[in-house]
Amino acid sequence: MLALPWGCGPAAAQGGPLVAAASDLQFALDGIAAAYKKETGQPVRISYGSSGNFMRQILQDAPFELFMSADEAFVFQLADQKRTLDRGALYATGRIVLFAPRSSPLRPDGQMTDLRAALADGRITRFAIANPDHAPYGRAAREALQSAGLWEAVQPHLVLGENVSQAAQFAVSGSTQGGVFAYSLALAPTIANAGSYVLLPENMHQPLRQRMVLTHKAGAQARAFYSYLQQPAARAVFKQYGFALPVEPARR
Amino acid sequence: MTLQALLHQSGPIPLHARIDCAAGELLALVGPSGSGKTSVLRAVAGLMHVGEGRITLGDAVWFDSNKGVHVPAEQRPVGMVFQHYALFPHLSALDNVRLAVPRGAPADAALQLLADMQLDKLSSRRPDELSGGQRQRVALARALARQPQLLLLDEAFSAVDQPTRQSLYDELIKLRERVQLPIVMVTHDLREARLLADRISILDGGTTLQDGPPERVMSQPRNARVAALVGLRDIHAGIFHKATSVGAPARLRWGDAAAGIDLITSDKGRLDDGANVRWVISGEHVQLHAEPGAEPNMVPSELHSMRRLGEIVTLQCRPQALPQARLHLDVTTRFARLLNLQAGTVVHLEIDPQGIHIMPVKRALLDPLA
Amino acid sequence: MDWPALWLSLQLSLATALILLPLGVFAARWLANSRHPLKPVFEALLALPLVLPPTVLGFYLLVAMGGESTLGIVFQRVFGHTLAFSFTGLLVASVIFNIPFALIPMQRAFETIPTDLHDAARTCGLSRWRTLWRIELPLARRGIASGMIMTAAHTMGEFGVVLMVGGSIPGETRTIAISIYDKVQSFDMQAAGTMSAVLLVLSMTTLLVSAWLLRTPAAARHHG
Repeated sequence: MLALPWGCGPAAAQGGPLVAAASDLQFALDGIAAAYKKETGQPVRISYGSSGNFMRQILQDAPFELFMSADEAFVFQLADQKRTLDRGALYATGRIVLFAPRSSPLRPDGQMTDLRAALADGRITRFAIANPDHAPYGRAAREALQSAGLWEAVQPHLVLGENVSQAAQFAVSGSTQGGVFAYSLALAPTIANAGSYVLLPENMHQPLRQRMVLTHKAGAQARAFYSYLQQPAARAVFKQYGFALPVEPARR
Repeated sequence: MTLQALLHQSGPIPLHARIDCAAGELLALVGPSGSGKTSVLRAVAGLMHVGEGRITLGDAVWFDSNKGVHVPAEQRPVGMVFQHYALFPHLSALDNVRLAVPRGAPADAALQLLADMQLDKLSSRRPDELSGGQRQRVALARALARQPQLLLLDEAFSAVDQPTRQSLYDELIKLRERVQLPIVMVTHDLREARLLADRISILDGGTTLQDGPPERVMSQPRNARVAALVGLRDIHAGIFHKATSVGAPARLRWGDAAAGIDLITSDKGRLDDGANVRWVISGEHVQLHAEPGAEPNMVPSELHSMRRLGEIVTLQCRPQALPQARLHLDVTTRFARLLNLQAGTVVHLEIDPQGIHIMPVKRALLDPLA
Repeated sequence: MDWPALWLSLQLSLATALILLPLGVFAARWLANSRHPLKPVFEALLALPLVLPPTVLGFYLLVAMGGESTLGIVFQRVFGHTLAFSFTGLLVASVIFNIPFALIPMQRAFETIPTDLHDAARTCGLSRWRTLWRIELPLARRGIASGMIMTAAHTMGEFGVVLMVGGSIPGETRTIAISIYDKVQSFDMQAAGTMSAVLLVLSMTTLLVSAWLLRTPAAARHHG
């Protein structure tokens, strides 16, 4: 821990393999990494952020060994640029929720009827989503709002989170009247207890096919973790956090 | 070891100066502010670059613009004392001096130098714990620590009060008895120069106007400008007439042919008959009498005004035969009281023929660098 | 409490201050004594990081050091890893954006040394080096110390540039300021609170030490 970071570079195995993970995996992945450490003694270093940001950083040679994106398009872009070992594996499919903090006058429902009314009568001044430009959950939120025909009305009130975690932050904080963010985050007790939410129908947005891939910098430890993520123990945790699981992937 | 310096440049500070100072001699550079005297000193010290010229001390060439020689200040064996002491504030008096002592000198050299200035008891004090006079003595000790071959004083006595100044003068005089260094001192105070210097050099606008022993320069200025700079208040007009026969005195017509006073003076053979001249006379060559007398050059004058400044009274006299002329004279208050001088009375000024110093009206300035 | 992040921040601050010490001293001394016609231009350039938004600085640094840049590529070849996203890259960025914090107090300190002291030193036979060592540095030491402290304090808190150039790589570029940001994002408010309090105490201590160092002795102010 008190290692000197000089010169050896971040890709050294000290501290464990370096993972870039989409923010919606915040709680799920922390749980999986803890279990992994318990089982193998190997710690894992995780950085959370928006998938688009990580893709850009990896293109600039950032030292990440494993990239867990919330949108497979980013993984494919990297693979096309020959930055990855292969085209990766699907590990989960995500869902979004409409959330209102306790203090809010908004009542969340699956058809967003109260949201529509609230936008009309001025109850909504600020509404949080992740930045659609580089966060998959932001893109999904926009698509959902567009399907409901609410995008024009909500746009002037939007507060954009740099990643879906920050969007959840804003939604929970009480300084907004609500927001749309990841289901996996809403299931965490700290957030669930802060308000009420409802799952939004899958047909309102493009599926959030979450794909992960090893980069060329991946060491043995990273590969080991990559396999672990596709095994039952890890998959159970994903399920616990509301992700839909792909069919058993082909063995690598 | 004689110091010789010839300096010339047109800018940024114009200079056209010449310095000669022999070992054991004290030369004062005198002039008004902006006259370039400090620049000349700094150039000699090596602290300022000059366009053209040559500076030598004995055989050593410190600066020669033709040969591209410029010895940096730290390598010239000079000691310098500054107007505001320039002592290193974070060091004690002893350490200030010790810093300048060269390697290989005895261990107590610094303390000894301070002892020479009666400062050994104060050696551990910092400059801010010393009085102005004490600081300047430390500065002097420090300047001597390098065993310099030349001592430079830049308005070294201006920042202290009168009594302290007096004791510093004494210190300097004692020093000159101990060491035979050439010393160049910059001052704007003529009295100080007169008191301490063997020779003075008058500078104006960066140009050396005249140099020589103080009494000579101050009573025989080369021209009107020098006369003004050495404090001669009255510059009179006149016409010079050569002696009519050998051994006879020359005649100076104070004023002009129409109205004036005839004075006798000596003929030095330098002036043509009938030449228009300016002339000056310093106060020591004018004697004031209450009654007329038989001595030559007696000029009855109206005592127009008297201004008293402590022990001295400045009189403004106007000759009766030439009322537009002015002659100022300083006398002691005691003398004035003795003669019962009052404004409006008539006094008789006896002008010493030998004291009259005549300057031709048009005279090309002698190039000091020629 | 993210100890590795705190340790990283401390190392970054210390390293930056140590690098800027000799660089700052020589640059400050030159600037204080120089009458070069272009001096105002240099001063403005060196003060730029004070006013430039950190993201602008971060952007230009990324362009200069990132994987696509000449510097980045050469570095990668020599050391086997990227300049950006590494501690070394962070150190380079940190040195650059701290220049005015180190330089300005030092320059002021050198400027207050009266010019006749320089002249006196020379006429005492002191070489330029000895003058620096025995006269200028002791007289300027408060300003130098102040510059170092400002640099260290500023580095501890720097966020925008670090994030852009370093990312948030645990153990490598995740400084304490970044870690606080991450903790808030992952809803770990307690950790964020603890670390913020630590930084607050550190900053206050720095300011107090700095003020103490720069105090003017009462005697000097009233000296006639």
